Amino acid sequence: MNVTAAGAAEASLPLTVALLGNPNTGKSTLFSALAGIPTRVGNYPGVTVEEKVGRFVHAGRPIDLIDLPGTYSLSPKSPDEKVAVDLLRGRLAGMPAPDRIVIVVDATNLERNLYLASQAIEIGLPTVIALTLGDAAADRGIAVDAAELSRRLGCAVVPVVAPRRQGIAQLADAIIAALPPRQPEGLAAALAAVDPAQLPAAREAIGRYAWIERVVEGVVRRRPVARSIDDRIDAVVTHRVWGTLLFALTMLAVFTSIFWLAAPLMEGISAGVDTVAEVVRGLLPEGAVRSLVVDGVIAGAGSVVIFVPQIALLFFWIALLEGCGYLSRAAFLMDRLLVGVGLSGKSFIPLLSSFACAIPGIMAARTIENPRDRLLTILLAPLMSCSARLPVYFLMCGAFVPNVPVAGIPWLRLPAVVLASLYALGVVVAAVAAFVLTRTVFRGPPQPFVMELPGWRWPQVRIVLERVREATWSFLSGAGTTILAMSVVLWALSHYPRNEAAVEAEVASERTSLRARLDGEEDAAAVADLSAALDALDTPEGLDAARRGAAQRQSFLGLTGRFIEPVVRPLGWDWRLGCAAIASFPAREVVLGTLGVIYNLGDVDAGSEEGGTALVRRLRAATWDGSRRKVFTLPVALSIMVFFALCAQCASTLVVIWRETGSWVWPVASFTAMTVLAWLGAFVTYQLGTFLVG
Amino acid sequence: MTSLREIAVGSTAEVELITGSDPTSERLLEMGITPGVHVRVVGVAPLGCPLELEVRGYRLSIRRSDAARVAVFPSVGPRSPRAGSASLRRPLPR
Repeated sequence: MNVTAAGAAEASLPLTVALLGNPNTGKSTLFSALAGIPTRVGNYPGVTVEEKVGRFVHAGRPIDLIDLPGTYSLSPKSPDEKVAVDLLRGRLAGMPAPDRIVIVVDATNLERNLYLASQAIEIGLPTVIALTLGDAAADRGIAVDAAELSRRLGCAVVPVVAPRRQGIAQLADAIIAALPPRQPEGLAAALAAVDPAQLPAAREAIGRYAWIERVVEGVVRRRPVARSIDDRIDAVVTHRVWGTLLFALTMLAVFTSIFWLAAPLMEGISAGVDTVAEVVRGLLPEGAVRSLVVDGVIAGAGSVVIFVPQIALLFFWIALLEGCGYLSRAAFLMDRLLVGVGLSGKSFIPLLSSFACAIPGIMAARTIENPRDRLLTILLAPLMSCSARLPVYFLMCGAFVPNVPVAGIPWLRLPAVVLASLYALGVVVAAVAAFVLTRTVFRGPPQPFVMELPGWRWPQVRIVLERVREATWSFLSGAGTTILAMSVVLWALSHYPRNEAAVEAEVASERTSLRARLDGEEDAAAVADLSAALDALDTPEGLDAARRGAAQRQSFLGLTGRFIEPVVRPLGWDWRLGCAAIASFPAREVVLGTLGVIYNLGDVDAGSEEGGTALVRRLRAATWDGSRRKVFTLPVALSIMVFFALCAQCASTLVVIWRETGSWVWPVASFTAMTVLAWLGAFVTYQLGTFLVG
Repeated sequence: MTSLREIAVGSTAEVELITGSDPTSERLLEMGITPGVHVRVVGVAPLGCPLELEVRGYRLSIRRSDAARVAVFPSVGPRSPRAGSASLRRPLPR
């Protein structure tokens, strides 16, 4: 091979370039300006830190741009920061050290940004500094002399305005042309000059900042600005009254959009899935394959896609608030509230969102850098009463909680008090759990809570949309596929074994038992109910519903329900309720549908007035097998609601916990702990309720 | 010894030293709270904690308990400029 050929071969090899920088420096904007949409998003080997790589071609040279997690220094304090450092030093398994480093330096905040930059230059890899936010700096009366800075740092400095793509081509040129930097002038001397009596960590910071102060001297010119915009905005935003009001309004907007605005979108998706299911049902012959495709795969895919509106809307808000700088102010305002239970203000939005749905809430915990706080927030999120629990609450409160005033206050009705108590129950249990966990499992040295409050700026539309796309896609491709697979497995468990003869036998025995009860019944209302149930068995729909109910009761899931009856008995439940609780595992919102099937109503829409009334009538009439004792009483209804308030009966949530923590330990632990809690809560409620009500 | 926690809102103080050698004190130093630097207490969250600080031309938030470990020379006054490299110091309001 001759020299020219070797040179040409080298020129066509992709250049790996690591993008390094402090958080909030416009690093993501620069990444999209250089590389566009990432070509590869995944996790670094062995850790849950996201790896984002984008390939682009400049001047005929392919370049792989690796977006490193934002970090403040090269002595890492978190797994995210450790990944950045290990990658730069070529210590990450299976990933060679990059060919170039691009350090993003925020012109509005040069001193602190140069701390990391000077450490990275010392590594000795060919380095380019991208000087961002020059426009924001100009607004604040700050001008940076890039040429002089480049001379003092010993590496290229390219000013860029990433949202307007200014300087991007020059930056790409500089990346290709970059040479190993010479050691920055005077840095070693400044580090050596620090009082040796100081601790090593302090020596590093004192020496480096002393050097930085000399570097910026004369490089940065400041025009006096009367009172900075940041000052004026911050004065309002962190104000005792106005700040709190603004915060409440913002959170209301965030919550409203994921709680109510998402609802019509979710209904649309649901209707779309139903249409597809109907079309496919018409195309396939009746049998196991049709049921697998329609009730297993299509319904499963629907149960994945249904979460997209909430995830997309929440991440839209997060990106918007993060982009303008409000996200860290929100954490600042709420920190005190959460510090008592061992968390920080950053957990507020993820936990608030969990009242709509734990899945976007758990994903929003990505904004928490501290790994311990992040894990704890993920584990507490499912305790917040999500919107999927509401139909259960509404049905039970409406049907079994007497609508009487509480404490003699006419407008304060008992069902409303019960409903509010269920929400409070989740919050209180979460607070106690956090308090206990931070003193046991998660005990450790206090984690630094030193949070930057970035300068106010306009959010970038492209970055916001990219964030929404990224969150949605990572849910669909990561958690989504597993949720789909799980739905198919659960479909199989509720459809097999399928023994037609046994189903017919059960329907026949039910007819006989209804007749027997009708003969012995004297109460007029009960007679009407029983004869209506008997008549229903003679209609094609009623017979079909009875068959489906029998099939589900005889399925593996139903058998499990009977098997666990001794466990749910102390909660006041019969085995059908145990079945419904287990069958609701694929997703809590199907519990009413499951109750409908188990009680031979077929598919009921409990949300509609007609369906709801039919279900309530059926539940009210339900009796214990072989007796006239009613199953549903006030204590039983309360015990069901308490159980659902505390349990983790939601496979999708558990899958998302697995994805976000990167380990099966946490979903398993979470499911076990919450089920035990839910059982205990329901047990106490039922026993106490029975004792009080009699 | 006066700590940053005792500095009134709107006042500026010069950092003397950071006590301790755990991740928190290291992070405070890395964020630019080094001996000799001037820190302005911009505000306090409505619930009384954490504090909003201005240091080296940017804003950061630390808890009161962590502010207690930053020993300062008391009250440089609300508008005293920093000696030496004051190039990045934002003009102090009012």
